[in-house]
Amino acid sequence: MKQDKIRNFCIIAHIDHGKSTLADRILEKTHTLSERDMSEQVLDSMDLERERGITIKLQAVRLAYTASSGEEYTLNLIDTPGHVDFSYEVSRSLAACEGALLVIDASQGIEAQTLANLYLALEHDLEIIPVINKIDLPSADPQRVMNELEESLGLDASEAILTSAKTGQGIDDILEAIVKRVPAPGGNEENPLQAMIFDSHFDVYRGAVAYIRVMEGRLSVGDKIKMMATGRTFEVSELGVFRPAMVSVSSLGPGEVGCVIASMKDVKDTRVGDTITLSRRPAPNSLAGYRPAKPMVFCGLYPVDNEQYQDLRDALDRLQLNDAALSYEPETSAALGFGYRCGFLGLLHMEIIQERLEREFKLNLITTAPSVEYHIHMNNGSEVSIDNPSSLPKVIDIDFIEEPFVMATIMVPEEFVGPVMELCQDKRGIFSNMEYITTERTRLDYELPLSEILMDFFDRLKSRTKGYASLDYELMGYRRSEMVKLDILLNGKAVDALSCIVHREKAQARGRNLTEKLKEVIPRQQYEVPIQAAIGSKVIARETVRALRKDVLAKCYGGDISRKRKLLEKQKEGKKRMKSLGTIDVPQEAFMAILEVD
Amino acid sequence: MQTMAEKGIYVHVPFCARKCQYCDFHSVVADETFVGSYFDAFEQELLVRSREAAADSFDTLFIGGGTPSILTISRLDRLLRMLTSSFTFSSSAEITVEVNPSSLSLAKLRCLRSWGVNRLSMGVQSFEPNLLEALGRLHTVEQVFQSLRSARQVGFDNISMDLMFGLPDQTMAQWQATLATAVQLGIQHLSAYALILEEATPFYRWAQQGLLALPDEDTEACMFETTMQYLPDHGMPQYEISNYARLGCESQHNMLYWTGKPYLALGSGAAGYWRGRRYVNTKDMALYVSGWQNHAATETLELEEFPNRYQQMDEYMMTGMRLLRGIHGPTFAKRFGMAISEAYPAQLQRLLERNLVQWTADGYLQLTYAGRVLGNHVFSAWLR
Ligand SMILES: Nc1nc2c(ncn2[C@@H]2O[C@H](COP(=O)(O)OP(=O)(O)OP(=O)(O)O)[C@@H](O)[C@H]2O)c(=O)[nH]1
Ligand code: SF4
Ligand SMILES: [Mg+2]
Repeated sequence: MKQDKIRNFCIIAHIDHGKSTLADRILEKTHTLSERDMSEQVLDSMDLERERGITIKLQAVRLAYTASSGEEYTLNLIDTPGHVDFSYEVSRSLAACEGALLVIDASQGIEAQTLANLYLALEHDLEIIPVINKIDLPSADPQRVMNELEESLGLDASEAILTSAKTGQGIDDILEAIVKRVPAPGGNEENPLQAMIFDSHFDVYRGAVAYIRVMEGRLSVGDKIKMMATGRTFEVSELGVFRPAMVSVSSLGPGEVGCVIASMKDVKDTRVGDTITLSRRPAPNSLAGYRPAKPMVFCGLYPVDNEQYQDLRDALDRLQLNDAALSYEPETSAALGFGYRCGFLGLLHMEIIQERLEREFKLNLITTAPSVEYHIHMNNGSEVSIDNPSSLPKVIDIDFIEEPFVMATIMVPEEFVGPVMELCQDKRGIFSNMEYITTERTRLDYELPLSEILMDFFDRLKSRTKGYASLDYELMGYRRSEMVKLDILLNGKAVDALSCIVHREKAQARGRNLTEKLKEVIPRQQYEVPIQAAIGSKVIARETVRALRKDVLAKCYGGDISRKRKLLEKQKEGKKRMKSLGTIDVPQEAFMAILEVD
Repeated sequence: MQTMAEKGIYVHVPFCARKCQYCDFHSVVADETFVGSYFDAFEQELLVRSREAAADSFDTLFIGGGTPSILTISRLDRLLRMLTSSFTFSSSAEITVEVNPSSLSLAKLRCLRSWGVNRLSMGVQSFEPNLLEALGRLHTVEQVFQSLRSARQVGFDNISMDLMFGLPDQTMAQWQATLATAVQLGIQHLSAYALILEEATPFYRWAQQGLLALPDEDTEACMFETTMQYLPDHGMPQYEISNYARLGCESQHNMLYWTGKPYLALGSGAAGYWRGRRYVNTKDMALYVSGWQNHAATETLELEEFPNRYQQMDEYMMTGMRLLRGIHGPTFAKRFGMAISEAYPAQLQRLLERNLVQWTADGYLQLTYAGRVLGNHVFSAWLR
């Protein structure tokens, strides 16, 4: 394959602007998939992605394209997620490409992640092709979006391509633009091999499968490779490209994207961001790699059945191969036993990981209330970081506490600016900047405590703006705040997994709301269960779950024991996601209640 | 208690004069022609199954429904003749027929009696006219008394009634009065069930729409606890989670279900446990009829299972714990080759800790008072 006929590009956008649908059309146009194998958002291959209608994982595909000039090209497309929690997938995709399609919904216009992803792409020096999508919609306003492109992104609106991923309009223009505007990859076949691992997954039969982009040199089946970070060596047994299913090839040259199978049985053998080279002729240095993902939210993951602890460990090891943004370390809880403290990029990320662990590894898990990481400055001058409220040192030893702040960018139509500012104020936000882009678009920048964003911030934002606002945020640093630990006591005993750290001014209200919420979600037990919220030894709120009185007594169907059994099994199934704390059954919702209260 | 029954037969008559508003039992309203073709098919099933049981002697027969008593006298006559001539019953066999007060006559009762029926199970549900109407029952309170008089007149001295609590608009006082009436009537056996809202019933829909003033959980629990107190105080001890009887009048047939004994089942929708096989005949009546008619003699089943040893154990626990006396530890160990505490160490421990079950001095594992109220906890604990 001629290197100058290779084009590597990714599709980036705000969530739901139509990346995956656009990819569908490109796959069709290039005859990559037969009609029979085609479905909507075909690259969203995970069940979870299909169920939720969003992309979670980056997905690479190789396409063959005959340009209008008659020349044959090999295109490599990477579809990326739009949700802010999966931006690590985007940044790794960008590093494997020379160009990016920046998709913008013609009826929505520029949104927070449009900006964020564009900046990421520019950092990687990619050629940007703006694509204004969904022009088939009656509410589409491409002219307005073009104005926004110029005003707020500084892009040349005349370069934008108008498309409908629904009708297929404009797809030819995109393909031509890719060939003409995206540069061919650099790199020299004669140089020592440098291939970047941008993703991986664990295959039960083949071991770890590394997804690579070759930067320099050539990699062939049978080669002895070396992982530059770990120094470990393997023999390549198979190389593949994605169409989108894996198809074997004998070698991969500069600019090509594919995967490597080399009996890497230990999950630690492949590291996303590592460079693969040849052991007989190693490259002098490794590639820049990726900035490791910085987890923003932490929670405990515990098996409902303590015997699944080891399985959870294996599952996390394997899942991490496919989700480089996941971090974890063992922890113990007095209430829940042995588990893992895990770090995530956001709440959706956390939810997805829990679901993947449960589905792909058949585990039954409880996640504890999420928390951010606090910096605790002690009276003796030392500083500790904690991401688990229960490890907060004694109050008398603490000098002060710092909490993480983010710079939040909110894009909103002008008419909603007032309500949004009110909301930010209410969430302890500090105004930073406001910019009118067009009458339809105002950009608000606020410094906000990350912990407030994790609560119901986004839901409130949406409800106050009829769904028109979009939000992006980036960690900006730590600020001193008046934080206190709120403990929850069930039956008079503090449950460490329910503790949270809250702002002093909000502690009273939150304690009250939280106990009310817990009363709703904790089912009646055999005994009355008092629920208390306390700061230190001072109880600030109290509720009671009344005792369960009855759960029996249906008329029996003339000896139909199988039916009785199934009914009982069904009831029991409903209790599965409950963790027994002593004699109290606590459902998963209880641990998440903190997210739903003010 | 009398000597224990070992084998039984259940016959399902899936017909009713009208569907009650809360009912999702397998029964339909059908015309005589269909009932006729149904019983033609039924007789084929009866022939086939009686061959399976040629060497067996049965201790119970229960004809339930639906409403067996709406069948014509000639059909009842033929049904009982077929049953008693095709199967062998022990001399003291308990033979029960479910009857509704609205469909009984002296003649019908005489017919039942003449074939050796010695127990009636009467669907009464309530002694409050407004509640009977709300439930969609066809009978009046007066018909209940009348039926009882007639039954006694022809010699029935073992009569059971079904009552329901937790009904819309039902008050605690009404339920108490209902219990008192039942006791005064001097019947031998009483089943008290809570109303359960079953999907696909009008009640369920109405409840969803907020049209039913159902008693809250606490009131309902109170009704149950009152029952558990009142009836034993008045000579009818509770022997099963929903059943009360004068001593010696416990339902032998139901005991088969709770103690893992075998029973044949006949009729559409009937559930049997025979020679290690659990089966449920199809509820699709057309299928049932076409399956058995014309000597085709193929059973169409809705479910067929051969529980393995562990499932048998689980079911034995699940059902046996319904009995107030509980499960006899040594009997369990003998039957399954291991003690209850070996088979369910963690579950048992947990239930004991929570004071839902207890061991008696003579080796029975039984429900505590709290366990009776929270029975489903206990019954489901053993299911793996
Ligand atoms: N009318 C119309 N609808 C479109 C078009 N493109 C995409 N959609 C719809 O927009 C919704 C989102 O499309 P996706 O392709 O899943 O969007 P995405 O950008 O991949 O979303 P994420 O991967 O979750 O960020 C779907 O319901 C699509 O059918 C278009 O051109 N016209
Ligand atoms: S009489 Fe019994 S079986 Fe028939 S509809 Fe009423 S409750 Fe159901
Ligand atoms: Mg997508």
